Amino acid sequence: MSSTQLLPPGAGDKKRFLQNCIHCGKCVEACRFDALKITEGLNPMTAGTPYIDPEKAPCFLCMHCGPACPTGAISAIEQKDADMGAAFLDKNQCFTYLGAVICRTCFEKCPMRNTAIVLENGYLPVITDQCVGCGVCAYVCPRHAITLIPRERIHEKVRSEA
Amino acid sequence: MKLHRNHVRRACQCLVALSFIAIPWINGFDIRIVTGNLLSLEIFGIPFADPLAALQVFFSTWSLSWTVTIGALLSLTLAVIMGPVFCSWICPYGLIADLMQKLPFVKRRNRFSRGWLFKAVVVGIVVVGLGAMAFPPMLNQLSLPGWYTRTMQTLWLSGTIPAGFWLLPAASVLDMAGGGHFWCRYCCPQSLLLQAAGLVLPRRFRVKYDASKCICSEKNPSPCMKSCPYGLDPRERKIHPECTNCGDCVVQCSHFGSALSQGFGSRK
Repeated sequence: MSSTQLLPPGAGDKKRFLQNCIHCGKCVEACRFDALKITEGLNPMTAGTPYIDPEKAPCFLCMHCGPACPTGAISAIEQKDADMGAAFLDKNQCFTYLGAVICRTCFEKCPMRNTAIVLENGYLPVITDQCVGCGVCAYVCPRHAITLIPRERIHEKVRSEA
Repeated sequence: MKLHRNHVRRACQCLVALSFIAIPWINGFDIRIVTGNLLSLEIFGIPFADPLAALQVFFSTWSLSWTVTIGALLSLTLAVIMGPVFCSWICPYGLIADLMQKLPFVKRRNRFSRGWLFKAVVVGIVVVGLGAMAFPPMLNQLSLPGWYTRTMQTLWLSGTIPAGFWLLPAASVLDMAGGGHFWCRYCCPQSLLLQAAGLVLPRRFRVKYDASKCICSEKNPSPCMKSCPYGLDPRERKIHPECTNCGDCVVQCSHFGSALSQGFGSRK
């Protein structure tokens, strides 16, 4: 299991999600961008449940999985409530902050452009607290300057920075 | 060769087994009359759900979405009216178990006449044990139709075989060693639920026996008993909870006195 594995948008708390999921795979069928994968292995708690590996294919927040879920394990919600995690930008790595080139790739590709990522002074990308952690920016960043932290590990990240 | 109802049954089983490839393929052309799988199916917008999966979610969370509640109740209604016909007409593992029984070295054995009771005790112990360890009742993870579904789906979506697939051959080996339909009779938690649903109504679809027409009443085991996949005696006056209404005994009996028939009747 990769350390950045995400639950589908609208899954919320992992325990609640696993209790509600009946492993029918309808969300995976509904996923337009092949971001949702089926967990393999023998662990009866997780095998057959969906996950996202944002390093291979991030979630584009199309929000088709929620309505496909029959049990409500994945709630049908709007993009802004996806709550999968959060992205963190390392300014010491970013092309734009380093002054190498005005890149803006993360801003352009962000499904919640101007909300989750805004441009300070018109060119410096800033990830706001509106970020839901879809992982698109981390996936497209040519400099790998963005780290994605899944929902259940955000508190660790915040603690380590405090 | 005359077309008997057991041929219709076999065709139905094969059709269901193939539908796991056919449904996603047809959905690929944006034809969405039927979507989903045995765990959550939708036909013309009417939801059908795996009742065991629904129960599992309900007992873990004490809540259930409307779609699944209605779907599970619809599936259970079928069992209430027709008995556990899912096992003999729909379940893809039921097809495998039926075919397994055709092998010459697999014996039809009726080890415990109350297989369902044995199973109920085992399932009860498992659920209480899991609950004591703060685990949800993960019974559907032991459901073979569920694993057939997931195997076909994982194959279709990612081209790999999930680990749970190996439950299918493992159960087949159990069937070969322990006598036909061993898994279905003594392990499957899904059929236990359907058997319980089949006991709800005093009158339902069942195998009926007319003793005056019976010409092999002296024989034991009789031809009808020998044809029953579960080794039951269809001449018993009470519906056996394990009878899946497969109709094999009725077809067999038609070669003798036609004392057995299927129709609505009382339980006793």
